[in-house]
Amino acid sequence: MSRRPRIALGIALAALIVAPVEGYLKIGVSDGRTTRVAAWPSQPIRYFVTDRAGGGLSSAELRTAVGRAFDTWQAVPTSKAAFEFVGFTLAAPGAEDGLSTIGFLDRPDLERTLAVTEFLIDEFTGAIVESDIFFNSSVSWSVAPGGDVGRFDLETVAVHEAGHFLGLSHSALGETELRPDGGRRVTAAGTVMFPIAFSPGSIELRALQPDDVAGASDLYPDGDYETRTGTISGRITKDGRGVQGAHVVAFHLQTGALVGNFTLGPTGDYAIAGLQPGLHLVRVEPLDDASIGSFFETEDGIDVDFLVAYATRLSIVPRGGGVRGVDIRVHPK
Amino acid sequence: MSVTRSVAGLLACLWLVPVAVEAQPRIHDWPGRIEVVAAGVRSSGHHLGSATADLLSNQVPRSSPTPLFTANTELRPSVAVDVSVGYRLTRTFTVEGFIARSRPVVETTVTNDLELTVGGSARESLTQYRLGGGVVLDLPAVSFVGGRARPFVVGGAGYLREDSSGGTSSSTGTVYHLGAGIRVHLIERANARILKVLGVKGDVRVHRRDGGFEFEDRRRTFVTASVGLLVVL
Repeated sequence: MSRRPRIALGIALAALIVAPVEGYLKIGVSDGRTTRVAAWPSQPIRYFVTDRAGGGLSSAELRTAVGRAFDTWQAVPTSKAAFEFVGFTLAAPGAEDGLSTIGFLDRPDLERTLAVTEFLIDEFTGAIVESDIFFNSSVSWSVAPGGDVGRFDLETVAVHEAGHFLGLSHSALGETELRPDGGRRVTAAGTVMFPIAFSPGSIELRALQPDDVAGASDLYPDGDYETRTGTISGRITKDGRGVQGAHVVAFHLQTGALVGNFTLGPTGDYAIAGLQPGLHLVRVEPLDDASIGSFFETEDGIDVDFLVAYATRLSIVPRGGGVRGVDIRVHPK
Repeated sequence: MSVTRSVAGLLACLWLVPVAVEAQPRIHDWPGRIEVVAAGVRSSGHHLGSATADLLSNQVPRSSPTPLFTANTELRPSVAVDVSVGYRLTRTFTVEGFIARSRPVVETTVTNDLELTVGGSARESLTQYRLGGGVVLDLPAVSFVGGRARPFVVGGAGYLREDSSGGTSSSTGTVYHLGAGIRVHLIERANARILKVLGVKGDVRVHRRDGGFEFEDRRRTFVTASVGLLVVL
């Protein structure tokens, strides 16, 4: 087993390794030969909350907000992910003690980091043994039901971190703009798992979006999820060669749901799972709305030099099946 | 006003016409005759729905949607093969059953992409089946060419099924129609044992569909024009 600390950029961790599997970017682990998806081997996932105040909140307020965040993921009807609060602890998050602990840590050195999720993963099975989340006490937090302008909503950030806690990596379903200081400000997002947080006071991303539901359901499928949903797969190419790191999104023309994934290798192949049956339009865009490090271990091979493009073929996704060969040729910027 | 009620009202009105003015009886008008028509049908396209891919905007305290792009989807005009079989109940009243098959194309046009100055489009073929029945009322008081050309009105309903290419997905619904047309008897053979009439039949119908591939849960209207070969047995 090895501890794999994640680098916090913006709101959360950056995935060091991504698992090359269908449907959503997931946290993975490699033994040097094989990459495995990291996931909890059993449910419910038990967690403790550190009995320490921080960021203007008490530990009880933290526990309540975190509980609501976990409830949000647990409510996904097509996922069997479940959580259980065990109790308060004096242990701080980050300790390798076999207990999943969530609490405040005072990290003024990480001034732009709201929270971080860390894992202890069995490299040989991919089983998550322990996961800790810390919320930065240097940040001013709020648990006001309607949000508090000027303070970050802890439940919103907890929903994002709980997604990582499950094993989900980041989604690129969002738009950003460059700030004068060279950083990026998110202007819009279609997923809780976008790597950059909304402004202080926003509570919009307390609720999961279709992209998040697809991710949780893909990682912990429940019931007849796999027979009720379908898949779109294909290849993204530029000048005849595969495009790596392209963000591909399927748009359901009836429900308006957006679900995305990436081309994870040099062949440019992609697959988007967890799609509701019906007509979909597929769009591809370069990964230029956040740092590549928020999604991939390395920037090597990631191609962001192409224009947004659409598949020329509509995809009618069947229940329990897939549409293959939805290929898109992109052109350089 | 429902389509069904409209059809019933029109049929009741037209029923009075042949009663008031009896036409010259012809052998193919006799009850019990069977009419078979094989026709080519040109169908108009129609809108299937519009949808906007919305993201949540980063606004406090409340977000408003940020459109990523807009998609407008249409069922393009198509050509169908239609076969109908009618059974003449009275001199003016025929019941018919029909089956039509076509390969329309669904086309989505993308506009207003947040990052793309030009739009795009995507297409997919469907296989569409319409299976149903209706009533045909001849209008013998308004005939031409010595009674060889006769107008009629028609109304009915049917089952709609649309399959994706490859048959992996399908969607069903109901379709209603109301229209008018004309039969032209090119050859009439009163003494023939089987084939009494050989002719052509054309009509224009207005259809109302409820279901099938549809994104806004609305009924859609489309128009068909058909021309076919007619035989009366």
